[in-house]
Amino acid sequence: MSFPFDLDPDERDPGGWATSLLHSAELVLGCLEAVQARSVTEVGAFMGELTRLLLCWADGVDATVTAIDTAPHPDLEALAPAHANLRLLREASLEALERIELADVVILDGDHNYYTVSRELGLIAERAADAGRRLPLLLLHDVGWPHGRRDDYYVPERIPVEHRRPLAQAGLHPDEPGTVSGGIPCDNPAAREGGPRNGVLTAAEDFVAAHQRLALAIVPAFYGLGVIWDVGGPHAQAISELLSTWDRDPLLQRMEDNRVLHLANTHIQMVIAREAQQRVADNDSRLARQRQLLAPMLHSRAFWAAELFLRLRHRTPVFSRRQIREVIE
Amino acid sequence: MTAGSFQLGLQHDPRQHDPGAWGASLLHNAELVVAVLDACGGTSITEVGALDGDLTRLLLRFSERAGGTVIAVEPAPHDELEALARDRRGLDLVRQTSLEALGQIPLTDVIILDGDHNYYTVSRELRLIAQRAADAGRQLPLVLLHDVCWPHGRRDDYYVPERIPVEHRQPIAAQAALFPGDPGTREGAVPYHHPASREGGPRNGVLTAAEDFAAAHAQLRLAVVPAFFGLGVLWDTTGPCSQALETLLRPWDRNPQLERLERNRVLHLANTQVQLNIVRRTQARLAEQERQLQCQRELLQRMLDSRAFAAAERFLRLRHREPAFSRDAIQRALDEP
Repeated sequence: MSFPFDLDPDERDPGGWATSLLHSAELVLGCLEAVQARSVTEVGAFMGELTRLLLCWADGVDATVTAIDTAPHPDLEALAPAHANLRLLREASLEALERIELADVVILDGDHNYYTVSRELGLIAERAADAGRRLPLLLLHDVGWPHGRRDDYYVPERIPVEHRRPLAQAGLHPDEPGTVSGGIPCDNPAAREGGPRNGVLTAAEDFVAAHQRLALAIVPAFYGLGVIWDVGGPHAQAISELLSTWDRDPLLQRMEDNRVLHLANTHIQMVIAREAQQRVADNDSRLARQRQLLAPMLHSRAFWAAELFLRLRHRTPVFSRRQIREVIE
Repeated sequence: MTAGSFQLGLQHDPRQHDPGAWGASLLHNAELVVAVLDACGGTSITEVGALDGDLTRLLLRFSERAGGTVIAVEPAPHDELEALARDRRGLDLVRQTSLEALGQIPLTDVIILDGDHNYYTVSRELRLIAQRAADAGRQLPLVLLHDVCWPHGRRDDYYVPERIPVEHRQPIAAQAALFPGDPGTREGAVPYHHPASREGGPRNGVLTAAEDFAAAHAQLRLAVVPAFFGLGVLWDTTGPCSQALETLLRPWDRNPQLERLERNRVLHLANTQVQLNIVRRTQARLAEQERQLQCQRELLQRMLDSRAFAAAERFLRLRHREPAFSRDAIQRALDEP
């Protein structure tokens, strides 16, 4: 099985967490083709894994790619000089989206919380309305577990305090709406999953509910891909056909649930294993220190004399060289 | 995906018999199985390898609605399947191996193969079905095959190796564990009873058997759905429901993104097993260490409590500045947290 443009999605993913949207490459490309896009904006380009795919696509159809990231990884920085059709903006999505030209497709994969995603969506809708245009096709990553119903914040202080959920410093597990020791680590996750105004999917749903004629498809694979489009648009039929098989499909959902369950279970067991291995190492040095006390006694005449004295008084001495050998060997 | 006219209403949680959440029952692919049954319009179903009846319950609900029957073939049925057979008139439980049963039971519209997962058995099952269909002047029934992906798609496994003629058996790594992407075996990974020691190569695995069978018969189509260890669907393209099956299965068939998802799922499934085994081994080592520490501590304590030991130390101190042992040092070691 070949991956689009011969890219390797596992190249930068030794742990196999598959957190990049690149793992949903065929569907992302399918969406770009369905709307015959010629420009795409990617919010949260990070290491540039998906950006690379978008550039391969853009080269073929003479399109442009705008990548937005407040803290681009060196790998993403390295892409920019080599590609004339890539524009890299080193700023927050809410600043960039306000002024850059509205693309045909906007991919949102930046700060995964209700406030940011809601504002991103609101900003895009507002700019489209001002320009008298239809809403661009919107792709949202992480509409499934863990961020679908739970905020996470890169830098909590950047979010107005009244829009921030109470935070937790612990790991996440799909069976637990709170937090779990050893669970999947996140930047600054909300302490609880669920409830209003929490998570990327909730933001997408509230946005769609507040606007006329918008559709939201959810593909429950690799942390969830959400797609929002204007049902009155010229490409609505093509998008709907592309996604209908996968939209909220229960079998796909079951696979994804099972995947993240094992991913989280592995992490928990790994943390337990690491702690246990540390205790083994501690015990080893403790045993060694005690042996350093015991070993010289085997060769001491004074010890031998004490043992002999004990043997004269008691049949079985309370200590002996034999006992030392038994415990240290 | 919709389950057609049939409301799935899974009363049976696919995780109930699955504490490790492996997703090993074909019940995890319930929606697709039902959609395939709906598309082919068949009402009589044979299920080879019914085990504890997880899928059988679903098949019964489907067939009873259409006035059909289910034949469950299982040489070693669990109690739950036995109870199901007692309660349900529409279920015929045949306590035989598939190769014995498939030669005599009525040929049904649909046959689900999920028995002994090896090239020999699956090839013989398929040949037997084809032969009986030909003898009856009928088309091949719709055949569903479970486990056409990792680990058994390209690697045999045998319930009872002795039942397979030795010349059809792959070299076996008994009680070995498998890890996706590793064609050999790996300690501490996902355990199996009698897997082939190597993955791949000719005449090895369920998918290889299905492919070879499809290649040897004209007009057969094999779809491979890479979900929950893989579901294969094999049908006669000249049959009346061929187009409906094609439409239903085309998006799923060897879908690369679905393949990646399943590969990632089994990777983490195997990783969980690996880590669990590390935890188990490390905890056993910890228990052994605790025992050793306890013995050493008790011995050291007895020395501390002994007047003869104290006398020996005093004697040493008279002769050497630094004695070979001291109660102070022992006390410090025992006081360690």
